[in-house]
Amino acid sequence: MNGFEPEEFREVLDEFLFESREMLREVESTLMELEQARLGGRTPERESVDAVFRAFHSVKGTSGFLGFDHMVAVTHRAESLLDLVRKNEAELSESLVTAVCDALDFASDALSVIERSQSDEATAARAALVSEQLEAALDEARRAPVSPKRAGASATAPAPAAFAAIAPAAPAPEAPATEEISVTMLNPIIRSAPPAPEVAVAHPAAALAPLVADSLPDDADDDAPEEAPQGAPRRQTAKAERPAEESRQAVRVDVDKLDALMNIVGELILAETMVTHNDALHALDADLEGFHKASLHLSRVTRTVQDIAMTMRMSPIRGTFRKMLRVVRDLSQKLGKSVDLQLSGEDTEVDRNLVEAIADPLVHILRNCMDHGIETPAERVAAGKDATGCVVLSARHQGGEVWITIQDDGRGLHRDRILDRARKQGLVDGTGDAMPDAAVWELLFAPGFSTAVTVTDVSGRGVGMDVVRRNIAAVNGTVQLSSRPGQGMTVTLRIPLTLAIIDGMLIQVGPTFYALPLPAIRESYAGRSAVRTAMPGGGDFVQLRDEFLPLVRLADLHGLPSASADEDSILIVLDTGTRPVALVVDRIIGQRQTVVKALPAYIGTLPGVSGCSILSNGDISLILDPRTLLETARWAA
Amino acid sequence: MEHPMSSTPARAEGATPSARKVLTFTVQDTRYAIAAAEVREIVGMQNITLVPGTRHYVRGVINLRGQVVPVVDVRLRFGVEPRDYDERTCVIVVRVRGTDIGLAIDSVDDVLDIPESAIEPPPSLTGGAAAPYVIGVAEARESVVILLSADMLLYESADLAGYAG
Repeated sequence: MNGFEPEEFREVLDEFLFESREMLREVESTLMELEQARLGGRTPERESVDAVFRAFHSVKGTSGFLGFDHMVAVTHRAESLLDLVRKNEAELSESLVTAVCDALDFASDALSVIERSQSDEATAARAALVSEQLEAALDEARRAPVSPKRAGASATAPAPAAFAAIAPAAPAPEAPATEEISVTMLNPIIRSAPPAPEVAVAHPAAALAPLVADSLPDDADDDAPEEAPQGAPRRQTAKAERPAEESRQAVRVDVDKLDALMNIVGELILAETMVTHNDALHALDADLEGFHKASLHLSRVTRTVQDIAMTMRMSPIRGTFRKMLRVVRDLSQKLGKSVDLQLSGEDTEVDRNLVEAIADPLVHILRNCMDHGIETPAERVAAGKDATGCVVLSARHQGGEVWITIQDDGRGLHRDRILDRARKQGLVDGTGDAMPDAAVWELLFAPGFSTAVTVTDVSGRGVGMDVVRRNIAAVNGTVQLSSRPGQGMTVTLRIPLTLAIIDGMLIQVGPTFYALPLPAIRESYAGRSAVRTAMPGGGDFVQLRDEFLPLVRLADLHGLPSASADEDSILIVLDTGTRPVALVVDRIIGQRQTVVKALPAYIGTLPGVSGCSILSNGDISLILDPRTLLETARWAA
Repeated sequence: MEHPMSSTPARAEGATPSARKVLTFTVQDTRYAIAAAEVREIVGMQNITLVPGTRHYVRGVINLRGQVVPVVDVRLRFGVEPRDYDERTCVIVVRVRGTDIGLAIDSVDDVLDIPESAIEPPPSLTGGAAAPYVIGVAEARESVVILLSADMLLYESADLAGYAG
């Protein structure tokens, strides 16, 4: 077999799976960069081609070493194909990129099959198919003439300025852009004792493909799997190629451990509040100055620990964004639309839970966007637009939130068509003509809503924006739409940076405590200073400065006995995402770091409540969710 | 664990061939019993945070050593007039379907062994079925005890869909 003890084999295998996945992920994004360069009429970056080539090469090497023949068959052909490009013997054509993409998909899936030790009959069939496609692409590539431009450009070691920004990140297969493992592995400290010495055997490809690609030996492509060195299992991928600036040390940490750390930090903050805000302190006569100093110090230290624990879970959104390049490419082909996806803010760091949570919604939104939003090239030209549509995917931090926007330059939302559809589905009363745009867009989030005139297999099955909203709501985020007819639409996802601990304002209504997320609070007023007006048919509002705000009485909303008359109450002006409201409460207790706990599953999800938190006196406060609070208000009315 | 005669999951639990060990308690002067095996602990009534907008008989949540536990007010479940909690009010914490849930009841009585032979099916009123959470009735220590299924008490029958006991 492979000459390994079973346990040793498992370890080698895990290493192989991990590294191969990481490399394939990099290949995908590098490939998409190449594709964009190709579409943009630029010369494909030689280094990027080399990086893709090397990745396939090393996956092939270890696959052969471990005896995964199908993987070898496919990666070998992909490698040959890329080698032709590398040697300027073939153009990086669309069909070539597609063939390599197929090889990539096969390799990823094959890794999963290997991981689950499944029967590989299906894999074998697919390997044959993918190999065939690759062979076809190879034939085509060999026949196709190489344009003089391409040949000439590579002769003078090209380094187009356009690539300067992405080049440093792209070629290193270990760039810390993995969303699966938030810390890159350079130094396997916490792994079990390695069977081979820590001094890593150089990467096989590293020896063959040094950084200066032009000096590559030409026969590098034909090596068979047996060339994979004995030390392969413990090799450190492409270590030799790592740029000098990447000298930061990192360890690979089990995600469960990070979660456990975050939980215990939550407990720590709770314990700290219990000490520093302990009721017993009020009963003490002693001079507490020393105590307050000490507790201030304790608070600072716990806050720092919290920050560090949180940042440990953060990783750049790049990986998720790069995946979208592939989604857009595949869809462009399927739909016969030409779309340029531009990414910005790829370095924006988000909690790893969010990375997972936003991937599906993003795919959904992009699908909608490309299927319904972006017009066909002919329509675009007729409308006086560039034939190639443009979608900008960007991320940035805004306050305690990360904002992700997807903006296209398509036809925008079709108000009449949405209303028409909504009327047919009984979602609006009357004509709906008087509805403001925002309310009309809101209809798109109704379950089962789809405006696609013809149902395509890309989108328009009636599952779409409602799923997006549900997924984003699951991480306490919101989805907003805006649109300009003929000019495109923008989808904005606003998601809190972390779910575990929030800055909260503790308030009291009757006997019950509530925490409000601090960022949602605009200001607060003494109740007597506000002028109330009762609306006929119910629903009060107040005038604060020049604004009219609907009055939301938390006591009424939650069926609580309120301790104070309206005059003695306090009004908190809350941002709800759509419109500000004045929340009526009895008392503001103060600002607290609030450790969010989920409500028991038995209770389910409640509109207006995002979770609960245990207070320093042991009581439980509900954490209000300003964004869904109005839903309760409507529902109670 | 499989009990050949049982049709609901609750019946299978805590059932022994000869006798059932149950915890008895009082609500509105009537004695009830639930399988002792489902009972995790009994605590006095404590500060409860009201949670609106959920099942109508869920009163709120309590803090049980750092764990947030929902509390079902059994009076509300029975449709009996609620009353203020007093020093005899207890919360019986049961574990059902892997979740700890508190049952607020008037007072806790005793742990009993009720022989299977003493348990009668719920007497039906003019052909109408008894509440789904009533398993049967028995006489114990000279008074009537109504045996309850904690599972059916906490979940509506509709919740049972998809729940393979």
